[in-house]
Amino acid sequence: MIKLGYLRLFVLSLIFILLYLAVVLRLFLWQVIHSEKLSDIGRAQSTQSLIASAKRGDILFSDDFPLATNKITYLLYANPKKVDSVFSYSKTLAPLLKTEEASLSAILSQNLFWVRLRSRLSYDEKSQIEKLKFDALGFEQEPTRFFPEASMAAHLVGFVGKNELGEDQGYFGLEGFYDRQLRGRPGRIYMVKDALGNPILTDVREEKKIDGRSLVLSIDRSAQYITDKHLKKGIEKYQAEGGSVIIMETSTGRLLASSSFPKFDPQKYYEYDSSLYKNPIVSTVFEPGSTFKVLVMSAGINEGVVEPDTRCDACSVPVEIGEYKIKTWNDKYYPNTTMTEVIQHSDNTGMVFVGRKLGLDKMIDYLKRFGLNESTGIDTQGEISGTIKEKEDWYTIDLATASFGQGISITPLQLVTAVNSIANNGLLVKPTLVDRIITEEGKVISTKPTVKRRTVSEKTAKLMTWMMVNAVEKGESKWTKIPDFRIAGKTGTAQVPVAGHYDPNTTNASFVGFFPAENPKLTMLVVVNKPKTSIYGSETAAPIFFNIARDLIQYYNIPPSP
Amino acid sequence: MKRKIYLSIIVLSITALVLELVNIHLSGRIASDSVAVKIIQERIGKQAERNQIMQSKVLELTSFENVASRAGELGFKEADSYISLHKSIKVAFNR
Repeated sequence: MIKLGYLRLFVLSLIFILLYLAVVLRLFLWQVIHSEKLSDIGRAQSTQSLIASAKRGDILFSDDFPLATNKITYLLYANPKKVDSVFSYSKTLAPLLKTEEASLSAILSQNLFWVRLRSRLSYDEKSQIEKLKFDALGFEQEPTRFFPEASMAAHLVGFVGKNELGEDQGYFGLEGFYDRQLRGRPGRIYMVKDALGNPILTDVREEKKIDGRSLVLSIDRSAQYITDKHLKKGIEKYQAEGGSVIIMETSTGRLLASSSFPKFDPQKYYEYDSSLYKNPIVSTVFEPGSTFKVLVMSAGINEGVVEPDTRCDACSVPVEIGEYKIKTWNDKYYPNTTMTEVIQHSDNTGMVFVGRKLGLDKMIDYLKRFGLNESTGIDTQGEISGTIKEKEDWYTIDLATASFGQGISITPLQLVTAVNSIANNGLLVKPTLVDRIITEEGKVISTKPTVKRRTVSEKTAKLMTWMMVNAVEKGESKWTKIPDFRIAGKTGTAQVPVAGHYDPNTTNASFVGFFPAENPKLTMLVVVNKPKTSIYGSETAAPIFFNIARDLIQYYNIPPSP
Repeated sequence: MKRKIYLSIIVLSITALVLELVNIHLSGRIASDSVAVKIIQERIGKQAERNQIMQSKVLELTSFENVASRAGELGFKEADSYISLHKSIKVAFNR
């Protein structure tokens, strides 16, 4: 009997021990083996993770007015399951959203909980829709890139689109070049919330966001406006296909204005052909024509092979080179003409004379010195460079045509930067667009002017300057010059190559110059593409140049020449 | 000795109870503060939104493009020359 009693006790104890072990094992399973998985599930249920979007940096004119900034727009969405009458929703919303009733009906009839109706609504549009008090509608804030000056400096700024991940990304211009610095880095906020969704303050973790850096440009808003206005008028007046203007601060290379037409609105870039996005001043090459003569003449003077009063003994008739005949632009010839007069008359035969005196080796050397075979290094996306052929690829005719700017292709920025070195006492400076970068903490990173190299001596630069002043005073553009101001300049009329030959009736007209000549402050290039009313630079690009110069002289209070 | 033990147990129990009550009270306060904070955060968010919208409007209205266009609508014209006369000037005629 007693043994039976002990047996029962033993079995009962065993059962309790086994039960206890089962509970312990179960606890071990949940709290040790599956602990991480269960913690994650618990955290997901009670933790909220919010992305704190980084604010994209602003791009500011030199007067701190924004060229590109951010504004709030709204995305309108609907919950089709809450729509009581698709017909009444569509009929009311269609005119407000400027869309078809039928397509709106189709979207609202879907068996979904969330559908997008329209994005980038303004605050006023949102307020109008809110007044309808439709329960099925809701709004989400969307930061949108905003350009207060519309299409002003569009090619310089670029635009902001989406990448493959749907994130904002800058394309072209400054938005593209400085995209990494402008976009910043988003942050994350991890919060524990209670059953009602309210945050519990004791447990908030944050990965701090870093807002994008802002850029302050050298571009002067007033100068940019003046440039845009006159270039647009000129293109319309001369019925040109397009044109560009670049204005550079002589001593530093800072770009004060740059305008190109046709242009696009960066706010609605998608409505324009993608061929317009590229900035012509850095992304297209052209044959500069007679504006190039100032560089070749400077090279000749610098090498001592010619001087301003050297006389050309081969300028009385067209120059024959093999099967080619090089004529002047107006078929007028000046026997024994001086180099100063060669520039004044834009005499091609005189330039061939200089080119021959200089020789191929020196010609190639100076083209490289003036930076014509390398990118300028300007801080904008899409820059290309003209190329200088290797010595063995040059023919005799190439040396001759290069002397007056044909058969050689460069970007407008390369040309104005090279001519600017003459204005700047022979020093080639790197062009820049951004003066300062401002970090999120307010730290300022300044850009310093960079002198790349010396192209010609100071004496050569001064001599060339006075030859260019003489060209303005007595040359083809004398009718449009500004009285009381000495401006150094040169016209250019370059025939455009079409299907392997030059079309005499299709030109790129240009004018390059700087002022005031005695102490240059500004260097400017105007290019007019395929004008129809006149093919000549003196009759199209030059008047635009002087109209802009007139306004800039007033704006910058430049005193008359002594 | 026994009395001391009982006393210690009683004191510690009371201390534990009081601390627990304080903990419950503070947790409740924090939870309700969270509600208030959420309301304030929403208000701040709305004001920031309005502020940014106003800033955008100001930029649009003060842009050169807008000012020039409005000036044209109001009848302002660009000067054709750099000299302008504000008043008419009497001119003497030779008879």
